[in-house]
Amino acid sequence: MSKQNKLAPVCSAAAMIFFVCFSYGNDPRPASAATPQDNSTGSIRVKSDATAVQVFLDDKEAGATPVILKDIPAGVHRLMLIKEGYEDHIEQVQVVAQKAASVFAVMKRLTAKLPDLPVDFKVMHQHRLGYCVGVITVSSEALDYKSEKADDVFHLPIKELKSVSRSWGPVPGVGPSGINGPTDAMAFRVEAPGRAYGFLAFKDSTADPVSVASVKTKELFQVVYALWSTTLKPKENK
Amino acid sequence: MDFRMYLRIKKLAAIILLFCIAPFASPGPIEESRIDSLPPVSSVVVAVQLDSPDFTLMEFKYRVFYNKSEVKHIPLTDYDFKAAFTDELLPALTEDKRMTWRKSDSTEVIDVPALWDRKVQPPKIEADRILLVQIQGYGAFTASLAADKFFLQARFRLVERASNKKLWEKKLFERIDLNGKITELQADNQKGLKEGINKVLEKLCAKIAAEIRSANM
Repeated sequence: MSKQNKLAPVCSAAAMIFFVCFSYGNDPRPASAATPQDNSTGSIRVKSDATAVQVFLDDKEAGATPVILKDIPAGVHRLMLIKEGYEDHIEQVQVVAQKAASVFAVMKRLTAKLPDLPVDFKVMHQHRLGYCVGVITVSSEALDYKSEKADDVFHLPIKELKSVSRSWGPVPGVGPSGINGPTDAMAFRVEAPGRAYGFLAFKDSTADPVSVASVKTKELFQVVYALWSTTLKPKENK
Repeated sequence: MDFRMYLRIKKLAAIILLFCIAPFASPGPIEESRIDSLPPVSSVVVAVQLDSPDFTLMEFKYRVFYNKSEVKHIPLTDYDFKAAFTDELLPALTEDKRMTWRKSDSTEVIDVPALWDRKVQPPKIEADRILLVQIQGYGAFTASLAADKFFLQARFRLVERASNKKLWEKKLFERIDLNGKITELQADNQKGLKEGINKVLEKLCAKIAAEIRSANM
């Protein structure tokens, strides 16, 4: 057999193998199909124990749980889960390119029971120097404070409040006796446009023990916080 | 090299070139004709049945002459385990493109235990196959001499809807060890229990989806 004749079947076999490999190698219906994805993005799988919880990613609405948020740029993102009757769940999520992060949120029910409104609380209103004693009336719309001498009166609409918080620490102007003890009662603070206000609630008089005053102050905080939190809306995406 | 040999080599090269180009020449029609020749994609309904909706806490107390066990059932507030299981399983299954997967809707009554025991025929629903899923238990084991564990046990069977013929079956028992004790988990809102059982749920669903993908059906 000549040299060419020897070469011919070898080349033909190689060509056949090549043909077979290319024509049957890529099954049009694979068991697992990868989806094309941008190299710099990842995804977040968001689940919660409660069903149909609203999901906001970086303050932009992103659906309801369970949901898979796709094509999220790599980096740290702010995830917020909201459902009526539950505390807001907020967490930072690290997204890694071409990977799926998983978040399972256990939603916490709001436990504060609102008293019948309007409700009055006897309070010490903290000034920069000193304090005055009066009554704060909490209604569904506003906080109205009036001192005993009626020389300090103000009206704070709840929807205009910027923050509602509690704080520990020295309370300016409060002496060594009475509510303050030395000064470790938890104060109730609200921040309105242009000014912040601090209060310590008490049960009977300013001579109440710290423990009693703290419970009343916590009650005041819970009522106002519950009312204020219903006025909150996620920031709109700019 | 004479002219005849030159012609032979040229002819051979042309044949090789033809074989090489052929697969790339018209990929569209070739793919389409191959898809036509494949059997149509089967539609599968996933029916999940949960034996007990409660979290099961199994406590083993070792004694010198006997072992004592105690079983407690703890309802998980705000946590629909069956819904959570289905929501976890379906996205994992849909990665298998050989079949289309959907969960059974409220109008489709599928009696999983009766079908499993072949006591009834599959209902007439719009699906070629039914994936029967029976969650036999989920919860935790606690024992004084071993690490506490979260567990989930379920069995799966894929059947033909028309005949109830078994195509594939698998039973899985999945568990994860806990660093510490169940009793030390965050009790507030049953957070520790929910997070633990969610982890074992994710692990089992990923495993069963991989098993189905690798099954020859």
